[in-house]
Amino acid sequence: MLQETDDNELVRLFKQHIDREKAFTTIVKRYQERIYWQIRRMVVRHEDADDVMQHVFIKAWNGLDNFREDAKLFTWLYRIAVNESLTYLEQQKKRSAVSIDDLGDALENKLSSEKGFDEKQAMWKLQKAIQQLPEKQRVVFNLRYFDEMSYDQMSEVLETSVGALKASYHHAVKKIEDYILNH
Amino acid sequence: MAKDNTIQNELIEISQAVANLQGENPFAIPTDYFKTFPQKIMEKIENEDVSFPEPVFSPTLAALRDKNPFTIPAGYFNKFEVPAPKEEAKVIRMSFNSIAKYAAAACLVGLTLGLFYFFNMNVQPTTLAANQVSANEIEQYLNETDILEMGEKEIDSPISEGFTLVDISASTISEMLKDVPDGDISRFLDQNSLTESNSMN
Repeated sequence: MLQETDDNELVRLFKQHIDREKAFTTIVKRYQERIYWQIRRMVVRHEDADDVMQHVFIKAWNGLDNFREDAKLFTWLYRIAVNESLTYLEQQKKRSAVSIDDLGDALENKLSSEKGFDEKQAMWKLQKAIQQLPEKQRVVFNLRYFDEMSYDQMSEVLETSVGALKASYHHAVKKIEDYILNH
Repeated sequence: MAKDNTIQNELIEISQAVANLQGENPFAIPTDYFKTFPQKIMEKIENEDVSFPEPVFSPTLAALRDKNPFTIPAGYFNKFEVPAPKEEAKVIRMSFNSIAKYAAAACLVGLTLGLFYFFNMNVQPTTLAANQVSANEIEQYLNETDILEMGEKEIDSPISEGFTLVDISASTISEMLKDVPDGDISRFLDQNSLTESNSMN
């Protein structure tokens, strides 16, 4: 039963081709929800999030043999997810020739078309406010606010200093506050 | 969902308004999405080539990559053994390389010295002689030469510094001066304290 096996052991089983598929499936089951929601809050639409998440785990499959284990497996997966999300948004920008200023509006429009959207409700208002943030600030806010990640963990994921992350989070919260109070 | 105290306190410090938000998840997902996702991803990995494609510069070569024309005897790798060496191989130090290095260096030095010597041997004799002979000796030599080669008249003429006596015939002088105006010649002679008749001769 691999579900109780720790991450290092799962990685070892994968690398040694011992129940490789089972080990990887266990990793997917263990982290898919957290990875999915991190992606979904960035890209908004489920179909886009599903697309990105598949890319994330395919990259993980291809890269796990070379995973150095000096970082935690979860940190490594999160880093792939953040990078894939940002890459996806960048590609969307290029495809639709949307400027970075308009991207917030484009994502806001996607929010509006989500099932059950009600802009009067606080949770939707919060999501709209989050979509106004610059991409990297959005990542920091989501990781801290929704995933409750420590600054040290975030520093490993985003390869940014704790000080810079704290400042980024502070600015993000202020911008969200400003949006909520004025809309 | 109650937030972690640290994070909640931090939010309260920055913005009470944001801290008061419940932070619920408003997004919907398809039913059983997470139940089916692991199988979906494994099928994709197993059925498709999910490695990053390398650029194909030559389709012909790419198609031939996995085709091996060579044959080997049956069971070759099963029977393959590396025979253990019976004795330690004798080590013969190759000193030739170091000799060659020194020989090449010696040739280069010899060539450089040779070229230097060769070019120095071709120095103008007058220059060499000039460095070894004093100015007084040179003047005396020239004066002696003048006495031997010229007539009495030339002896009396002052020899200025920077001038050398040259044996030129009257016809040559006339040829040289035919295009020079007489006025210029007169002025020249006046300047140099010589008579017109002497210069024309």
